[in-house]
Amino acid sequence: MLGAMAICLTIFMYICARPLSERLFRIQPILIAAAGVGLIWWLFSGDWQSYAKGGSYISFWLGPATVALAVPLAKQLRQLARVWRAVAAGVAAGSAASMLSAWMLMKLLDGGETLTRSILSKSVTTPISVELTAGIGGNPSLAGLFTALTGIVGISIARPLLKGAGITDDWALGIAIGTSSHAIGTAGLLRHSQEQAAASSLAMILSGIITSVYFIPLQYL
Amino acid sequence: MRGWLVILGFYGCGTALHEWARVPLPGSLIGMLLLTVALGTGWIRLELVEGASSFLLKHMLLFFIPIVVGVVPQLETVMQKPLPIVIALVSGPVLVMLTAGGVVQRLQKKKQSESMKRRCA
Repeated sequence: MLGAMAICLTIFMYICARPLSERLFRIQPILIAAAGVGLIWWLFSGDWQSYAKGGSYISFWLGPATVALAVPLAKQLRQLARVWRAVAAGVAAGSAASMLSAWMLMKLLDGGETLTRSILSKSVTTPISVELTAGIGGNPSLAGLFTALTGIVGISIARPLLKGAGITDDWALGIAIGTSSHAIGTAGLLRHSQEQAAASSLAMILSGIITSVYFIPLQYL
Repeated sequence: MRGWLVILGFYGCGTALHEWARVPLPGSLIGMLLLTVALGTGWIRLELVEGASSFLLKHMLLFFIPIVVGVVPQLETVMQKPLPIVIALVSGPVLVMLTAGGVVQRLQKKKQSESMKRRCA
């Protein structure tokens, strides 16, 4: 019963989140929805285990949604053939920078084992990030939150930062934003340029693949 | 309807390969790679899966609300060490963008100037 309530509440907040976001200074819908669900559930039930049980019927679909990324990827394969060297090098370097910088910071500032293992995948698109984190013994929920926040930070600073650094090429811009801030960054680009958004979604998928390869040795640590 | 079955089937295959054959990549990622190959080689037509795929991608946000809500019971853990998290979350995107964007732009420019030289020669 509670499980069904959890499903209904989540879908309801999902529907409300977008219009609310437009009224509330464009705060990312995912944060509004999650905060709304969290607050209402805390007020009326507080039984987080039942919420998790019901919620798992919804979050199951992250898996098929990842598989669905094959469609945009397949559509872009031909375009990619011309620039694949630069794109692969950029995404590989960016993904490595994300993991290494997070790992070093957490070590230096004594962030603790669980947090470190949950923050390494923050630049990767959420469904892959969550699964990668589970695979190395981190906390998938924390990873989901860190990933969403990374995307939000990324898209908020992207334009001035890249402009200041002299990165103006469509491909370079799209790859930079897709590698760092996954789907949230891509959605932000859609309003400006189709080409940049396409490059960004491609980078988001490739960084998911490349980071998954980087994660292989971590599973044994 | 068949598009949904194809996507779920590839997801099942990927998960099985991860669980049983111990392929060290997430099951969903294996499924995505296999489906990309199937679409690229024309074994599965793009139109067949396009509807189901765009529905899933459009509502991705909904699917990860329960995951983010799952943080609430653990907020105490996060609040114990806010500093490294905040620094990592802010510095990460800056570093990644400059690295990825810089590499792509430099390689693209190099390629363009090489093809220019070839044209002039």
